[in-house]
Amino acid sequence: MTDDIDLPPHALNAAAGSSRQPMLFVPGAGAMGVGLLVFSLSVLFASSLIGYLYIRAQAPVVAHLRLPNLLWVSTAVLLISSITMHAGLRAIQHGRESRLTRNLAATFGLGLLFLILQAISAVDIFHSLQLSNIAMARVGIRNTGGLAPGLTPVVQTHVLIAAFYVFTALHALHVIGGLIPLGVVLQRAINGVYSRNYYPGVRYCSIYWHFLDVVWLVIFVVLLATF
Amino acid sequence: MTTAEISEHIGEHAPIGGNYLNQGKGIKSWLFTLDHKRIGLMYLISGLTMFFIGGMLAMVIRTQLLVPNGLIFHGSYEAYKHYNQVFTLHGIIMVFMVLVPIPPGALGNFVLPLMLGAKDVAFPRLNLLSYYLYITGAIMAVVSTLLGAVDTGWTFYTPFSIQTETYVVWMVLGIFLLGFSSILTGLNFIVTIHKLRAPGMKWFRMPMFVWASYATSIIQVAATPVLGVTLLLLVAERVMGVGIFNSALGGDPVLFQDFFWFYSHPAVYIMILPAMGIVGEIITVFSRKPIFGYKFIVMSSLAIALIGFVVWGHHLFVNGQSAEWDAIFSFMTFFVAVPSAVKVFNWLATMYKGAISLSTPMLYALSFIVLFTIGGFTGVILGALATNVVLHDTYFVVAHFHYVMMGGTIIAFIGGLHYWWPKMFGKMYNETLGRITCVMLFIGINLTFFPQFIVGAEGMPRRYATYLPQYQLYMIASTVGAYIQLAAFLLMAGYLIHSLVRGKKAPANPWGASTLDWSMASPPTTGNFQEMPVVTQGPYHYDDMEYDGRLGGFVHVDPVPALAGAGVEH
Amino acid sequence: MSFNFAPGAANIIQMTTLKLPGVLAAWGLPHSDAVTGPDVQFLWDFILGVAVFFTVLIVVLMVFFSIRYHAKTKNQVGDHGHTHNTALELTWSIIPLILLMIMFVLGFKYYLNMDTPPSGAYKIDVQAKQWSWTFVYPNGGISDKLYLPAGRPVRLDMTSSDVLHGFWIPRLSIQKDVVPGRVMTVWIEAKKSARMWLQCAEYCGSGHSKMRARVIVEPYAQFKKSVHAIADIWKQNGKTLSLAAVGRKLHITLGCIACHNMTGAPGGVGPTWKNLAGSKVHDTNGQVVVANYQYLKSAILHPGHLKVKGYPRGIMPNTFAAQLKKIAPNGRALDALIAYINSKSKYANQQSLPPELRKSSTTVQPSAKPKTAPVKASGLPAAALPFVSKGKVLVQTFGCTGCHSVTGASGVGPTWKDLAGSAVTLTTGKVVTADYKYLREMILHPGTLLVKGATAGVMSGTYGSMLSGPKHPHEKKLKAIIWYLNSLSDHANKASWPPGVGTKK
Ligand code: HEM
Ligand SMILES: [Cu+2]
Repeated sequence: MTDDIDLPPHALNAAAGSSRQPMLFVPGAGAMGVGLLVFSLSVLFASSLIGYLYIRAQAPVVAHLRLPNLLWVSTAVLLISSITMHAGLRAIQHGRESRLTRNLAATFGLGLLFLILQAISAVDIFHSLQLSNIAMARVGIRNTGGLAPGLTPVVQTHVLIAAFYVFTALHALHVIGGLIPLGVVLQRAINGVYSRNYYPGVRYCSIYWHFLDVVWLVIFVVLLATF
Repeated sequence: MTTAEISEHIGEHAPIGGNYLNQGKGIKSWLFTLDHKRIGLMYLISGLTMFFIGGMLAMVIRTQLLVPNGLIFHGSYEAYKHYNQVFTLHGIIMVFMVLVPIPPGALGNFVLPLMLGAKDVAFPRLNLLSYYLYITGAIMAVVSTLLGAVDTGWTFYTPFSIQTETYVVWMVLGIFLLGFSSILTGLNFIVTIHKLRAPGMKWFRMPMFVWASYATSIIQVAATPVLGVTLLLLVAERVMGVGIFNSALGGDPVLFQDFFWFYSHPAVYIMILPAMGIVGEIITVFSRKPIFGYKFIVMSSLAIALIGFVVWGHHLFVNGQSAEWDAIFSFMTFFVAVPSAVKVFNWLATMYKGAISLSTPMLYALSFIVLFTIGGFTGVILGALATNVVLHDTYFVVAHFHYVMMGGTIIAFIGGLHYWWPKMFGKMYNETLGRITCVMLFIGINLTFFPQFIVGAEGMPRRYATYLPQYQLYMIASTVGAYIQLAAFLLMAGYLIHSLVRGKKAPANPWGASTLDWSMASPPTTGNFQEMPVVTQGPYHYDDMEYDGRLGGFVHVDPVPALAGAGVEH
Repeated sequence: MSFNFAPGAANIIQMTTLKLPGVLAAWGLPHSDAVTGPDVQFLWDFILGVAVFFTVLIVVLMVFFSIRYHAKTKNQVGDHGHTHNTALELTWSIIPLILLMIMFVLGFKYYLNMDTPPSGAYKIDVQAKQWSWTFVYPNGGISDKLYLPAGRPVRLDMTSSDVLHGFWIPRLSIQKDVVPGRVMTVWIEAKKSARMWLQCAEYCGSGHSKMRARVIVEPYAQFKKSVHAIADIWKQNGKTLSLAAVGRKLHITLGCIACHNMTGAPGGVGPTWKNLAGSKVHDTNGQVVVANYQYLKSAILHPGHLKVKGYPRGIMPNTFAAQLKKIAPNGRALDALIAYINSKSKYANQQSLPPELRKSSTTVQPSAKPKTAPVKASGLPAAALPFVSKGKVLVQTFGCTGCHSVTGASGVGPTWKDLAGSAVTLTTGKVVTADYKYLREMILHPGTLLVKGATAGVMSGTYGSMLSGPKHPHEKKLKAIIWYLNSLSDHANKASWPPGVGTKK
């Protein structure tokens, strides 16, 4: 999202005289762009959650599943990473460049850790597929799809599992999509590009990162409430 | 956040002098260009290519329907399936690769920064990324078609789209990318409009087209993610058997339709709003009179964009939605028709006491008004519950949306193309041929689609490879109309290409327009403006310019003081 | 009225000369024979009237302005004085708004009436499937034609067994989608006798344009006769049907199909009828009985006596004896059902057939013996080894090993040790060899071949779709898994190997 406006001021000065430079240094454009992106992605997550909740509200589930406990850990990891991200932003606002680098690195590491933990949970939940099949057999649902006539409809357990996969995968993709620019910003921080007066990349990353955090919390709560 | 760093070294800029077409040579200077005008042109070329492919598919459809048992595909389910693949591809290409992305991508990209007095869009690299997402999406669609062309209809209704053995997943992922491209374009335009207006360009001094693009962009950013989710869930459904949209697994097919139309109804406004913007520009310029009721038109664009979000259920009246919801959606549908009506009346009032010249763009704008009125009114018939249940999923609906999409969006787009053609390429086209083509298209469109209203009401369902013989007469008329359209488009291609090669050199302002996009030489330089324009009045005022016969265009004269405040002044 | 649909020039001329003026006179909407028709027609006329008025107004103004205010010179400019007029603009916002609201109210009012079935309507069930319509009348008659009584309300309850379909009869002013998984209801009251088409309006695949049915509205007395004739189960279109074909009709009209499927899919309320006749059935005491004619007969007539393993007693109603007797006091209706059950079984034999059919042993094939001979261990071809290791990875990723042990230990599912090539006893009592075909079937369609002691429906049916997408691009994976199974078994032989590697013809 960041663009020419992201160039440090001195770079802009150096480029002065180029035909398009002066128009393009637009304060606030980058932040607005990130804001719109976050809005658009929120619609994406919200609508998928609404779809799931709609189906889930139609009927009781066959059998409740246990969410892997590891999810609590990964949630904590993500929360902490949001804190380090914020600390990084505060650091550069006060001109503490090395502290910025440390915090960005921590955020990056925690982000990676989060992905790994999510992957483990995903494998874990795969095993409950077998359980779910047994549960379904008990109430007379054919695996081949469809409900034996005469039985009350129920939400099949594999709808839950599939929902789990869809949500975590969708979120994980966005985390990956956040790690890449975060890595770039980290690299630039190491190179000393940012200063007290110039840190747009850090700001955009932090907006996006908090967004990831909030989205995950909502997903997690929904999963907890419906599994 | 990434594009800047990644493509830091990609964009090299051409020196000042010459114009954007020749500043920077070689294929690379095009493929990696960050210039909004070049990106706009690339969209234009890609879009016209897709339009050509989609159009040829349409000719196949119309030829098939010449006889009741099908002229091309007949005799077996396998053959009908091929027909179904043809109309599916036609719909997908036209909607997702032409109507939604091309008016903003081609004309929006080219014109918007010019109109705002900006040197580019806010995020040029993102702009290029949008374009490549568009291309990638289109390529995936081609791949899917080669592997096993989709036969679901452009609406992908479940559970059929889950069961069919064609390559739905590829196609759907391709459209997902197209959607992403659309979101990024919308985002880019919104920020551009907010942040890159020239000094003095207040909100209510922006041209109609900018407002229309703004409304369009809002829909793109807010509605397209829902399409994304719908498509991803469809993929999950096919790959993992999620069961959300599949009744066999406890899901609900109607939920898919809700999701799909939650995007696709606003999407029809993504298609029509830029068209309305273009028509507004053309009418004021060729009536040489400020647009009538500027604020009403602006507000109606925004109203259409917002109310457009809550009418999607009018596609689901016969799907078992409860009567309460039916009523709400029907009500909102009628409500959203009001701003459209307002626009039409305002355009007419603009012509009143104008100084009208019926040049090619103006002819297109007038055609638009007629065709859109017919399309809009038949939409109203479809929005009424009692009549909808008789006409849903028939050729009546097909005719309705072709009147608004072909007669509306495409006609306005082509009008806009003729209007900005001199600015884009610095060449004039043959005016006589331009007018003849417009009339041919007008006749062709009516002949193609009007009989479809009747045949639909008479009892012909849509998406039929074969039909009952009593409908043949209408079908033949429709096919003849389609061939007339084809001839018109070929003629247009001929004189436009001729204009590129041999056309007369275009002056800076051939039509005497007063918006900023006509204030620089044709074609513009890469940087658009030599010096930052300063805006002191509203967008439309025609009494401060004079026709210069030597140039073949208009030049500014000192404004008459008494009239300086005319136009829209705030 | 005739249904002569031969296309041709005469037809076209006739249409031009006769129909078009009529169509234009009626403003395009076809004449409706439904009681709700006049409402729809009125609304249509009203909206169209408004539409035509405004369209003409707009076009006339446009043309008039274009001529009247045509620019004489390039430098002529329009009147810059009047750029807005709030009162005028409000007028042309509010007048359309009022007109539109009238349309909305009318539309909704009429629609509510069209959407709410009156009580006491005659009831017909509609079954939609790719690509045909079936109508089931209250007397059990089944037809592919929709008969309607003139002057009486009819309620249609519609279901789809596959994808979306659209029930549309324009000349009765009615349309409703048939959504799978739901019962969709419409009601119709036709005013007078007529014939027309019902066409599928919601796209449903290749045969969509051929999915139509005749609709025949008749005076009530005639209608009753027609429906009575349909209910004559022994005949169809005047021709006498075979016993099994009659049974096929009966199993739908009597509703057997609701609990007993024909596909062999597990998990039904009652046992499947596929391969039932002549097979061995386990009862709750662990005894095995053969499903011969006598058995089937008492199972239908006295369901309370049944003790089939896995199926609780008291679920199947004991009303069928009376119903069958009513249809055919001589017991032929019962025989028809049993003949039909036999026609679906590969174990059917002289003892399981109704006596009437026994002599003609050509109609039903006795069950085939397993063809593959018992096998002995043999080494796998070297070329198969890469597949084996790939298969091993696959079964882990798919989670197969969660239920099937590879060591011989017992688990949720049977162990895979020494499975390939071995002899397996099915629930049906039949002994088969676990050759390649069997293994493949087991994985793709678990439940069609249920191993003795296993519960139907435990193994997920989704592996099939995971392993075979469109046009089976994953055939390779399936083969790899079966190679792996072979590697675990001492009984593996050429018949249990997947074709291709090592098994040259
Ligand atoms: C006054 C304005 C309009 C009204 C009241 C209106 C109303 C409707 C209604 C009620 C339907 C549903 C018909 C049915 O399937 O039963 C419909 C379908 C449709 N409309 Fe419009 N419409 C309007 C303008 C537009 C515009 C401007 C566009 C596009 C540029 C458009 C594109 C479509 C399309 C594509 C469909 C059919 C989609 C499908 O089923 O494949 N409409 N319209
Ligand atoms: Cu719509």
